[in-house]
Amino acid sequence: MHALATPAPATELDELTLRRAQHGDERAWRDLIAIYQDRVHALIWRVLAGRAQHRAPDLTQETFVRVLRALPKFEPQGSAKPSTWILTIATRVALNELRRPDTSELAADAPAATERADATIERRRMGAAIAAAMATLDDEQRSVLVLREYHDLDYAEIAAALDLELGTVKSRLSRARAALRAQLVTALPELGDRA
Amino acid sequence: MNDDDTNPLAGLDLDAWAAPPPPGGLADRVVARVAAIDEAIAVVTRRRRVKRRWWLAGGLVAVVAAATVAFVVGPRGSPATGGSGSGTRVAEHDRTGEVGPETATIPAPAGTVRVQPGLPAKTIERAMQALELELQGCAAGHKAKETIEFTVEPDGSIHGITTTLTGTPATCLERLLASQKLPRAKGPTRATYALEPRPVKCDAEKLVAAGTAEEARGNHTLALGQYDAALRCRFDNHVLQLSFMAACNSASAKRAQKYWKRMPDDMRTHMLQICLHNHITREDLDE
Repeated sequence: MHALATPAPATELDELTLRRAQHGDERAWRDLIAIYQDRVHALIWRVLAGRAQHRAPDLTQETFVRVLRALPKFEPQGSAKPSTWILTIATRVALNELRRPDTSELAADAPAATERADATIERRRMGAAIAAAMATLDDEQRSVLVLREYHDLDYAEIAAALDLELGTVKSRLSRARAALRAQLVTALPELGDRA
Repeated sequence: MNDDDTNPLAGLDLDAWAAPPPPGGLADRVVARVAAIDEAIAVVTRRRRVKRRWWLAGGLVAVVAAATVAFVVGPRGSPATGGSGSGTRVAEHDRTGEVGPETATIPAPAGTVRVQPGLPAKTIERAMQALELELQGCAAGHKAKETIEFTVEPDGSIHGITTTLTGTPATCLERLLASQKLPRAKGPTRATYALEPRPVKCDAEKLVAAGTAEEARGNHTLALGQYDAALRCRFDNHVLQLSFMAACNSASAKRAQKYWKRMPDDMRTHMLQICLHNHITREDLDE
């Protein structure tokens, strides 16, 4: 396991709350949303990088509507963790949005500045460079990269989430990483010096 | 499992690209939307049940009334006077001359189309062939040959639909035909179609379950395929709603329109929001 980015908190909904949510308990639904909303919103926002990121809140809402409606069918003893299952739905919601004609024709936005107040100038430059580089990747490459680097899904989970062969995930991830690295080195030449 | 050892991004601070937090009040909005969808489905189901009860009560009253009339009138009410039992309605149309001597007979895969001159017989035949699976879905499990009569208006719309089917299958079939648009013709065309019984080889419940599983994975197009197959297997209003939702979620206005046209008005009112949320407008659906 590498330590590139701090993975999202590994919290999962406890089994009892999950069961209650499956039976339509509203409080359990709210607990579920509270636990996963940051990850879902961040995933969608990143997959939409540079295009229609303003839609991320709506699509986050859409994801949870689908999650709650499909929840009775989710098998807690199955192979997928709840977080993986929910992130799978979120990824598909985001990719569907990108396939919409009016979204797919959108030119890449200027990378959104989302720096935190305490971010250093260097970190801000890095954030902006990553945003710009991510926006140049194709949607499938970016999805694989986001799921691996930011959400720590393993290759098999990514393959299941995106309906891809394991080999396709590996090759797509490899190309995405190389492309991102190349873009970042172009934008921030000092990264090349460090390598 | 993951060969990340040669990762060219190793050591880079990818977290510098920080996502903003989700909007506040998300849970409230999600819960409200889920409740609204559940309520919409429940309302429609309730109304259908109430309507069904009225049908039963109405049917009972009609049977009692018919028995009383038969008892009072006696043998004078013979078929030759043009009585209108639903089972003989089609034959009477033929006798009254609505289908004249130039009537054509067209073999169809599971039935026969007879038309007056007006719209070419082949055109109606093709339209009915294309609809055969949906028609069978409406009449799922029917054991005898059923007859459908309809008029294709000069503008291509279908009106005056009568059928030997009753209840939900008849309503399904009427809405299905009324949602069709055939080519324009110089005059109206009256047609009769015989729907032959067909052995049911599909499992609608399994198809719906498969569709729900795909929907859960966010794979709306595949879900729609399963729901559509379920509707062709055995029509059900709930599956019609699921199909509409999947079509809206996959942003397919054309597919959504297909189901929209088959929906009763009360169902439409509740389901419209789902498409609006996916940027498919009422105008797109009514087009």
